[in-house]
Amino acid sequence: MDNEQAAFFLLQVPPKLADAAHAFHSKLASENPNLKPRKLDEVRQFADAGDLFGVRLGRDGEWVGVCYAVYHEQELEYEIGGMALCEPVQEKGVAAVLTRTVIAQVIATEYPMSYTIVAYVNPDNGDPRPLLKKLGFENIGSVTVTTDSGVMSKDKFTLPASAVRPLSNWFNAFNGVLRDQKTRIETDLDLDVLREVLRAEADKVEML
Amino acid sequence: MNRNDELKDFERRGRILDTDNDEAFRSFIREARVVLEKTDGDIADILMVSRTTFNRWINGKSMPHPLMRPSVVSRILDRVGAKLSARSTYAYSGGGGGMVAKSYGS
Repeated sequence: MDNEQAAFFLLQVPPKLADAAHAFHSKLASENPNLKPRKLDEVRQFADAGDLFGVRLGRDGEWVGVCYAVYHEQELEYEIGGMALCEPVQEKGVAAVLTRTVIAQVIATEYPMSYTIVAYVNPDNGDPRPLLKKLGFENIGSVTVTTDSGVMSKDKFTLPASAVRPLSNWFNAFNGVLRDQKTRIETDLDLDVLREVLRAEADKVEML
Repeated sequence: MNRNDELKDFERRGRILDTDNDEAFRSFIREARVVLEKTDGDIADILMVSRTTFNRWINGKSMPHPLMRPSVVSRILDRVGAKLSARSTYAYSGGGGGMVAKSYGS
């Protein structure tokens, strides 16, 4: 049955699934030099804090993607990062749905928007740039970041307020089906609430 | 106030809560931890938000968007309702301490 495709399931990764998410992340990180390998403890901390999001094939199936949204209190920034997606699903638009949903969830749960949503990308990593551009992120230049691997240069992307309207429009049109128009992606997150919030925030931005 | 009354009172206040009132909302979610006997992490899971976010809510550093607050309250009230149902079932099956007469011996 060509029209019946297994649904993907987008979830906020609970602590009990942290080890499985880490195994998935580690496999991809071992093949992709632009993906920073995270230790198991780090991934557990992300999941424990509720900062880790993922996509699986069905509710209990194989992992196909993970990413995190971490708040940096000093910088007043919400960093979207660690996007790891397995190759067979890379053209389906899963990363776009995951990233948009995570951004929407941040906007809905962290009110008012007194922070900046950011992403940091290695200077020689071209992979995430088309998606970031599509979502409205702006490259504001190179910054120096201190990590446990040392001091590194990264390109910093920020999401301007004007990107909220396109995000809202996308959610209004999103019917739970991926780019191929037949593969479903489901979530327990309340998309209707996210739609309402984005619409209200986009209106607010345009009134300023 | 016994435990059932406490849960019912919390449920009643939740149903009429003015979710646009930041302080009333914050107070309600703080109290939810106590009434439901849950940790911050448990409540964050129930609300499907990160623990960091929940901590920022109760510490007054951020809040859920006003349009999201009714669904937050609703999720909490669902748990209160479930707890009341469980207590009622438990009581009627003889575990609640006195609602069902028991006979011992002959």
